[in-house]
Amino acid sequence: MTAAWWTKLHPLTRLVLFLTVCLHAALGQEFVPQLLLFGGLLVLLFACRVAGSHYRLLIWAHVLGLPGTILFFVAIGYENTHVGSQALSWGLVEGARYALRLECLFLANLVFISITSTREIISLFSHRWMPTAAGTLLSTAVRFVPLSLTEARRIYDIQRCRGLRLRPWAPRSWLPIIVPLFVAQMCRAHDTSVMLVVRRMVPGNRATPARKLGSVDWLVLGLALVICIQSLL
Amino acid sequence: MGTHSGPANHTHVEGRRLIRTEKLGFQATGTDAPLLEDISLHIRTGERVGIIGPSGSGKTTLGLHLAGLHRVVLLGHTSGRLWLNGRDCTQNGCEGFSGVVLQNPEIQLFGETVEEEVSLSLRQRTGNVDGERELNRSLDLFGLGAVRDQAVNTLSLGWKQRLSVASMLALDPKVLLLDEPTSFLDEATANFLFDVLAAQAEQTGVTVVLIEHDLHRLRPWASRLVAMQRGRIVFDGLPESYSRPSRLFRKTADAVGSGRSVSGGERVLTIERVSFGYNGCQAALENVSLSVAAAEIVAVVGPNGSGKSTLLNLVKGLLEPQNGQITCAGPTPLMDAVGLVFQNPDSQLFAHSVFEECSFLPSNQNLSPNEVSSRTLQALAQVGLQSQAERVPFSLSYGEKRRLTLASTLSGRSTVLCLDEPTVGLDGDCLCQIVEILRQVSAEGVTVLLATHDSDFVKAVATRVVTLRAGRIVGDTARQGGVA
Repeated sequence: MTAAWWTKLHPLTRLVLFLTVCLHAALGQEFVPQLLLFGGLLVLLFACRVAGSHYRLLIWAHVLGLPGTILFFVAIGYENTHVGSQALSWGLVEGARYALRLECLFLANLVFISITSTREIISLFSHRWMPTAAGTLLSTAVRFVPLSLTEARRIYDIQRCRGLRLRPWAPRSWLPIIVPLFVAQMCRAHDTSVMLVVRRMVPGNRATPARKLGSVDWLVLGLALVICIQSLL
Repeated sequence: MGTHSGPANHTHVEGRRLIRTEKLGFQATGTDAPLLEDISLHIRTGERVGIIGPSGSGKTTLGLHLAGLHRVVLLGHTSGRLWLNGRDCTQNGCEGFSGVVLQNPEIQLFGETVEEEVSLSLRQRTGNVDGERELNRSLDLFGLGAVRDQAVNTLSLGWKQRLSVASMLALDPKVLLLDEPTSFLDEATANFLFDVLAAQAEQTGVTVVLIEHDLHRLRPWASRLVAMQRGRIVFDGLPESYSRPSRLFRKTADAVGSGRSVSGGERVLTIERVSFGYNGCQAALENVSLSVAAAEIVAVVGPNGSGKSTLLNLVKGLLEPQNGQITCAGPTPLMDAVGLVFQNPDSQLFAHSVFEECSFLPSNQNLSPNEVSSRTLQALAQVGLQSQAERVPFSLSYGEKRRLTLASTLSGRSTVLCLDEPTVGLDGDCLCQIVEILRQVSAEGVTVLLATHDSDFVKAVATRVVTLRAGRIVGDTARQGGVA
């Protein structure tokens, strides 16, 4: 089996790329670059062949929630202008911009989590300058999304057996998933933290495997720095 | 239940004193009653200590103290004295002293492949370690050599649990704490693990502390048994001196079938030549045919990965067969005719009261409020929770939560009731209650299909046993008046 292309990048490079994309998505004002970024991330997610059915479910849930988001912005527009046509045009543009930004952040997180294993994330946070508690917390937090997705799918199946019908416009109908998911994640976060301590995989441990940055990594990191500066300016 | 063939040496282990407690107590923050009281123990290196007791008796709390993890895991005040390896660890804990294996192996593994998982532990070891030799030794010890390059997420639960124990032992801990490690494992895998642990304790001197509900399994393995009740030790000695009967199927010992015959009953569930594979790959079930009569209690048994849970999911309609068909008397589709109770109650509880939780299914069936209420109260009465209707589900004990999840499925009045590993994490008394409830449900004409590893439970409740192996039915036996 040949190694996936992204494994050639150092986990730190992947993390920096992820943060760069997040920064760009959060600060970018131009509609077209955001749209291109969104498209690119979507292609990347599926090209990596890591998008399981629960990922797709979540993506669809987000997409289905978009009209609601835009409607919310239209309502804000109407409150400010009291003119229907102006509210509609302002709400459509701002709502779409906001939704796109949100989706870019979401997709970037999915891509990063999918192509970076827990071991790599742990090794990434394994530095003497980082407090143990912070490293453990970060390691657990970064795994939160993929574990939540798997758990959400399982809970959804369980509640479907009990006749659950999800209605996007009725937040109450999501409670049978959200509440057990929250409880399960609390338990899982606790158990994972304990296991990290027991397995002695805490930052500062001399035995944590280290990997040096390659020339491609330096190139990508430089590019990321340029994009970050441009986004900030 | 078969017993494993490993060392059953119950003579006193003459090792160095490793753990010592004096009047140890623990009170969790925000609670009135202490979880541990007056615990005095001396444990030596190489001892195999089995801790047994009902749910909530303090087994895990004691285990975490003995492993020196109480300061990491528990929130509360530890009183008395605790010495680990000669150090007073009452208030400090002792990280790095022990390894821990929990019930669910899914959260314990961090590597991508089997080899990497064990290597990860070996890298954390201090001192001069011949990595390659130790790696091969660990893999061979647990029979993992053949799957060393396999991705961890493609392993079955049994293999994952083997791997998590191997990874923990690779850390070279002084104490290995295992908290109900066999809950999800078939008998062969569980026996294998017990054998390896006993051999390791003897050869390397690692002290093994094992928490289990099943005395039948612990008795031949442990060199010492500690029985807990309400936070106190009520027995500490050789396992053969402990007189409490195994798993307490007191009320049920005589009652398999209870003189009732289900022969010739109306066929309610028919599975015809069903095949299924996940992601279109390796077949999880192949050409399975089964016909089940009304009021039968069918136990589906078999090793991990044999297709038991897949069969239940297909019967429920959560999965679609790739070949063949499943038909059920009563309402269609299968989703309405079949009820499925899952293992972990915390994965489904969400409501603010027991009544609301239990009424969720009938209220989704477009019934009148009166009918919903009547069904809910009846289901709660069936499981003995009618007096708890106003309580918050999360405040119930584990056994009560399990009964609530059963009630919340019974309230849907399904023709067929499926249960996936209904005995996991339950002590003898809770098991007795579940057995009684299932008998009662069956007497009312409901067909019960349960997937389990627990042979005591099967003996106590099933009228028919179907054995699956590698996705095929290899055995179908009626028990005392049942049909096959």
